[in-house]
Amino acid sequence: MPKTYFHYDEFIDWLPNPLFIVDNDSNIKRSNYNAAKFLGLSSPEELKGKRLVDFYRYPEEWQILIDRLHDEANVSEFEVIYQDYSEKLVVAVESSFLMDVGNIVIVGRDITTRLELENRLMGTNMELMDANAKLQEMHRQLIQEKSMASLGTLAAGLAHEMNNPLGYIKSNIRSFDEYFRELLSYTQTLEGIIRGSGSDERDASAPKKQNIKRLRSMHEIDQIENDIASLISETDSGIERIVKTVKSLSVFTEEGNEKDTELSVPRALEMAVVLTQADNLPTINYSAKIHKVPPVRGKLKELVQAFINLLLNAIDAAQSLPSPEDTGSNDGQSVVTGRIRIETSSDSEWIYCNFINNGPVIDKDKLGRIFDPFFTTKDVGKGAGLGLTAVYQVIVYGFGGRIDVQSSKEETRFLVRIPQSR
Amino acid sequence: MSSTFEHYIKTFNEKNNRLNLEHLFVEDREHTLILYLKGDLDTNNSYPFIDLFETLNDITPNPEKIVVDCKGINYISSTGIGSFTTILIKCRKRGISFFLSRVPKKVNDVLSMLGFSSYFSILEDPFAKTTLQRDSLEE
Repeated sequence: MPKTYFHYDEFIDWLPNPLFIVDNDSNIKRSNYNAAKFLGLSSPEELKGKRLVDFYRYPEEWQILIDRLHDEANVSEFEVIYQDYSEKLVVAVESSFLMDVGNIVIVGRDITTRLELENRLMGTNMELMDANAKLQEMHRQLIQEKSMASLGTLAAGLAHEMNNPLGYIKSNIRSFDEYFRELLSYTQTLEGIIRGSGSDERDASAPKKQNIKRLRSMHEIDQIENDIASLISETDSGIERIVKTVKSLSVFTEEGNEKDTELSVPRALEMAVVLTQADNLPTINYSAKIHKVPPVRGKLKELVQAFINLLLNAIDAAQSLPSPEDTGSNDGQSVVTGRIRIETSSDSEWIYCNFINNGPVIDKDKLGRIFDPFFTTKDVGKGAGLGLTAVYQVIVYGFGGRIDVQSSKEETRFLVRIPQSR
Repeated sequence: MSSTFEHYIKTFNEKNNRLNLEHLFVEDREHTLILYLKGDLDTNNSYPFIDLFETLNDITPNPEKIVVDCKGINYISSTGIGSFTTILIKCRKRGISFFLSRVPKKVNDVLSMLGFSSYFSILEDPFAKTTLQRDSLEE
């Protein structure tokens, strides 16, 4: 029997795991060589009279272990961070159980290296995730730059070509208006002289009077006098509209690296409406409730582009409704069937902008993918599926906003919200 | 709000007597979900805790920000701390901002030891105003 006891004791001494036998207050009564080594000492003798809890980085965890032991008599896994004499931190998993004499046996397992390896792997994972986020961002910028670049080139060319002719057309039409008024006044005076005595027609001779009347009728002078004024007025407002359009286009001709600035959402909306002609299409009933709202922060070019894409999307949807001609239910007259409505509002934090159309309902399973690149509900060849992706990127990543879609039989609504500029 | 999410929390609390979860939806500008942890987060309950975040899709509206409040944590193991890292990755993949609040000293120390501190945004108050996490990603 003594021989066997000796072997048992030796087994504890040379056990590959650190082993401690302690009392309830963690006083070390027995330990082995690996326990000493684990705590940065050379022999178990050096641990006698010391408390195990003094090596705990977080001593309060001793009481947690004791409570668990009292609940369950043995605790198979309890992780503790030890601080050894060299101030080195080591992490160990302990298996503990109560001995019948009121002592506690604790067998530890050093998991520091394993944790370091796991964490290195996790660190690599995090780095990969960051790299992936950067790649996605680059992808977003590429999509954005590609669509902006082609539109920008087109816009720059158009604006340049249209600006000068527009300038002299506008100036000429005003001169023409003035000249016409002068000519009209001159003709009327001349007629008065021919009639005999200025403007009093009663003094004119009958043949002269008849001649003037005949000539006026033959050349439809009364009608021309009436028409020309309204023709000039219409042309002038048409030119004004073109000038406005060219001015709106100029936002795309600015050089890249546009800086974030405070922007007016109604102004960006107005530019987008002008550029898409959403308010001037014969088949669309357009209405807007645009309220004055606080500014947002970002790039004007991007916001206008996003609004243009949303409007073009709404126009396509509203125009894709079957017309009465298609269904044979009208008498050949042009009937407006499409409806587009824009609404803006705000609260203390957000600017809301809704784009509503009465186009075909979008299926629920498609709503979740509508902002995915290359996803389109249009017929093959009619849409690249990048328009709404670009909108999402601009609103969510460029402006820190949100965009949601709701679609029912009555209407499809794109709800854009952008945080106010702070 | 979400029957699956709430049912999961109820079941979790019934099965894990060492850790109790409570939640709160805050209808602020970011639709915040605050999760309060009370008890011990260790090997026994870390994986079911991580799985809770698989039910996020079921929440309407989807939270844009999640705050895990650690004030009530009594004990945490490295697996428990690792669960925060896994959840952070899950949230980032979904574009959700993830924050820890009222973090005990041990969690802070271990995150530093492991070199993960820079990945976590830690709040002193779960209701503290924050900037979206993607801002820090873009910096």
